[in-house]
Amino acid sequence: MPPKAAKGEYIETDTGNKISRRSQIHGTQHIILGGKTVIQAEAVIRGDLYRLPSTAASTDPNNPPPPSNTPSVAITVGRYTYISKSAILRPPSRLHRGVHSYYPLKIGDHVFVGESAVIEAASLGNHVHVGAGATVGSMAIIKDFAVVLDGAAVPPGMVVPSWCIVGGRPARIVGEVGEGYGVEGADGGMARERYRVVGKPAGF
Amino acid sequence: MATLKPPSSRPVPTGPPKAPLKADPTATIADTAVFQGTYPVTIGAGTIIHPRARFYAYQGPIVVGDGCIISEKAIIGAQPARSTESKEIATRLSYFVTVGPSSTIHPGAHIHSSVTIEALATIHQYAEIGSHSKICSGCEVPENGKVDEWVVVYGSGLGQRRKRAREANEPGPAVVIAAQVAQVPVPGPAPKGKVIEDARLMVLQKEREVLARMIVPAGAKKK
Repeated sequence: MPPKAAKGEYIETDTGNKISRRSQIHGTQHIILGGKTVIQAEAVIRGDLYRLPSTAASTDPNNPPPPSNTPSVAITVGRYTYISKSAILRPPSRLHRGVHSYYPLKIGDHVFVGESAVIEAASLGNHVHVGAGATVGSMAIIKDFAVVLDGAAVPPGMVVPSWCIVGGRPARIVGEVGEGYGVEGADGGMARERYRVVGKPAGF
Repeated sequence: MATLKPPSSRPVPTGPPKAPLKADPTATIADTAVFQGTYPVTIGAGTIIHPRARFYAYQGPIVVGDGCIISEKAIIGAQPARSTESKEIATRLSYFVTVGPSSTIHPGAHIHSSVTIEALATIHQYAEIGSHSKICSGCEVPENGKVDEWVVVYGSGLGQRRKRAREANEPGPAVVIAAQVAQVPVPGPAPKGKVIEDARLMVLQKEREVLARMIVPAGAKKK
């Protein structure tokens, strides 16, 4: 990096990702950011927990496993997704056929992850809103346009259907989002606006 | 480079004191884990410390037993700011304890073996958690609070408590009806809680083995 780089809170990449210098990202080679993603300070992203190449493939001597020069992906994050301060993204893990391995965590477009939320889900759909202090348990699946309220505890393995609001501990479906949710500029559709103001001085 | 000293305008860095760390050689401690304080921190065999976990041994020693998993951003101990008493307060984590991401364990807490503490939970001072118990995400155990063995603490605030199922449960009515509809034999009673707990601990063992290979240990040079 040239020494005269502009000193700002955020590093902006070629694809428009705004990543705080104080974010705590591990295993960057296993993370895919879709572009225009915001990652705030002290957010922890565990890309180092990726799926190890399976050892079972080596049992067949005639068909050796292909050289693994393509790194397996631990975390995929979509466009205009916003990871707030102190949030934690860690891929889920489970035991399958006697092998304990980590599974990829997929996050869609226009997703908001609130402050100090802990995400261990298998996938978050598009336009998902996760409130501050919420936890999403291991291998949970949150479908498009779902809302997880502040402080909710989504249990491991729960599947939250589209357009649902879940809250409480443990999280239950408490309502549905109204019509027009997620429309650009309306409630739930502010992702572009959120992205635009990041890194701008206050008052603009 | 002529000098590697810090610029003289800045005072000599008086960073926080680094806690004397006594770790078993089979423990895996990530390079970005933080150990601060004046009292010793002891880490048992096979324990996994995730990156960004923080240990503050300002008020007393911290002892972590064998086979524990301390997740990222977990805080064990407390910053020195609010230490008014000079008494030494030991924090103890027994064997096979799992501490979830961003959870906090205050000094003086005693966590018995095979306890699971989920994400964002808080264990206050002098609390005692009995073995095989579980503190669900976001829950708090109050100061001097005591949680019995085989208890699940869940819900918001102080939370509700219930005993973990230890005896075999007969299949529920929905399962019986589903089995009749599908014309398959009704499944037998669920395994006893002890069996499930043993299985969970075996899975935990596998998880530790995998993590020991993945986490960048302290002292290792980065590529």
